[in-house]
Amino acid sequence: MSFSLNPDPFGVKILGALLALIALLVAISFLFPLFVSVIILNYLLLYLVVLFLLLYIQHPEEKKARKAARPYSLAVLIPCYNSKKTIKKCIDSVKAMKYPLHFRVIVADDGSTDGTTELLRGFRGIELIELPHRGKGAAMNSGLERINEDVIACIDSDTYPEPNTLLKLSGHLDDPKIGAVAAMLCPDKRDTFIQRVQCLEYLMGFGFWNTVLSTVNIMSYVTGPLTLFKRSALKKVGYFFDTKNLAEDMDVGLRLQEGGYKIKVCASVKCETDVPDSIGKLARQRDRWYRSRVYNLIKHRGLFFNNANPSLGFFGLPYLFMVELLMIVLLLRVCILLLSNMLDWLRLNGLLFFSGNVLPGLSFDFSIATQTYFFVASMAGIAIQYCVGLSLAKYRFKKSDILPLIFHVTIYPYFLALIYLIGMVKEFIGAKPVWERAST
Amino acid sequence: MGKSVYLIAAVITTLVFVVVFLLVAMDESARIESLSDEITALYEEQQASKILQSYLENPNADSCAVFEAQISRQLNGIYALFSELERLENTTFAVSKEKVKRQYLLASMSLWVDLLNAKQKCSVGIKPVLFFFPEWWHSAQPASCVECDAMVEQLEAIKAGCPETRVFAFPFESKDFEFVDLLKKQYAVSNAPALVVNDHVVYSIVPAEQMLEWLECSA
Repeated sequence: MSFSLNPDPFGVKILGALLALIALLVAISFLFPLFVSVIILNYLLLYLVVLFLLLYIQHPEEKKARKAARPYSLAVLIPCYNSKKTIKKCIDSVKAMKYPLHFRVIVADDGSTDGTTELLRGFRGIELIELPHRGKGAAMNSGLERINEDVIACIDSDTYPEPNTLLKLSGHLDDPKIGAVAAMLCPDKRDTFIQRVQCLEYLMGFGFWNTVLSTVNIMSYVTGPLTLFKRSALKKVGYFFDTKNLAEDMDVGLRLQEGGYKIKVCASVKCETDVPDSIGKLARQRDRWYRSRVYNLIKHRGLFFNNANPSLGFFGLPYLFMVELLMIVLLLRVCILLLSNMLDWLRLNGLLFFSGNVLPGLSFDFSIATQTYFFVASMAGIAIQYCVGLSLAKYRFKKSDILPLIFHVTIYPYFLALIYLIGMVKEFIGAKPVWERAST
Repeated sequence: MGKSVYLIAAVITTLVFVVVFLLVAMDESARIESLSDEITALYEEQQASKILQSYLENPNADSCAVFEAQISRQLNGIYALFSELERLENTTFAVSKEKVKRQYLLASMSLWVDLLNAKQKCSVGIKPVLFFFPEWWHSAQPASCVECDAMVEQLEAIKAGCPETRVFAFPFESKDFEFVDLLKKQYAVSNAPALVVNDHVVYSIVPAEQMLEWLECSA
């Protein structure tokens, strides 16, 4: 699968400049005590938390499902590749969806090699398109060519929509400004620790955050696993998916924004999807996501500081991108600090050991540093946001969620920042990414 | 609310941060004040010792024992304060931090003189070690000094094996007090970190046995 880094050579220069900026910010951060970096980042994070809570309170109607004034003609498109373990459940869920009109189910098989194609040939009530392996975007394009219905529901082959999905989502498309409407995602399985962490991440990210982002029209992507598109909107923005793009959901989302369409998120529809079950698989998935994110942000850089959608151009894209950059800067700062402390500790023990002295035991400094207070303030804000977000998702918090939650709000952001940084570097040097199924 | 929601969020966030700033400042001031009170109490105790010393020109065995117990207690107190001062480096808004450091230094110098006086008049068993550390080790932007940390660890271990050992820590580049310069000249200390153990000056870690020998302590 080809994955050309840049839409144009200028993109490489932008990426190089961004990496240089990160290096510069890390260097500058060493001129100040650590608490300065921590306080700046905590302020920006707390601002986001407060803003999102205010926006959420301000738009209570946005979370509700909407029934269409008249039912649209609709087709479901399922692109799939090596989905033998999930496709049956997916198709069964799709067929179980209620809708007043008959809808076609088109499955575009992207040259599966694990027996998915043979399995699909045995299904009734679907239209199967057998294709050579060219990637998800190309498979979706082949499906789109055959669809004339007004609304297209794109559903991943490892995603299992609930029965009322189409009914609840399609009503939002009555608004002529809305080009696509997405559901809240949550993991299908929560067996491993990392899946439980992702469960919280999905409920907050694809639920609360996306709901709020869509209220102020700063959604920069549609949710890949399940989105309903207006065919007319897709047609207006170029219709087909970018086959080079491994995050076609973000590309389409940004194209819809460029075309003046809004992307709606309806958190009252929950849809289950497969998520990686190990840290390694998660790292590879996020590597693909973030590299695609870099690719798409460079490709659609015209949206930055664009007056056509000031909320997105002057706040959504720059602010969120800046927070992510600062997260990377803080990660590097902390990593360098930890590495330096570790080297000091080794040197200290070496000095004592080789001079025949007693080695000290491990000791920890429990004194409270200034930045701790600000960290606690941000954490309190985040805790409130989690309460609101999880109640929006109607999620019953269990004891077994405590550790994943702590991991999610403390270490996980740094893990993601690391993957993001590596992704940027890989994009810069042009390393080829690998597409991999989430968990099966 | 419209677009003003962005502004309202900024105002709320700023208010939260201002409140946190105030809480931090209050807490750090309280910590500094408590440390300052401890140093003042120690200083008062030193004054009481000085009065007792000048009253008893020729102390006998009983009064020597009292002197030694007093100095030993004060030395334990000042060493504990040194650790607390180290922790104070994590604070940011404590404006009177430097003042407390100077108070600590004064108390250390005074104790050093008291110990020398007591040693002249009585047979005091306390074994002093002078520790000169670089000023930047405990500055606003602390840098790592592995040798300093190693010396502190070694002194801790030595104290366990030789309980009479007491450590006097002084910044090498003290701008406020000529006394430290005098000490440096007296023992010919040219660099930091440095340890002065029974007139022996060392700039790096020496074997524990060597230190115990200089301190005339059996391991």
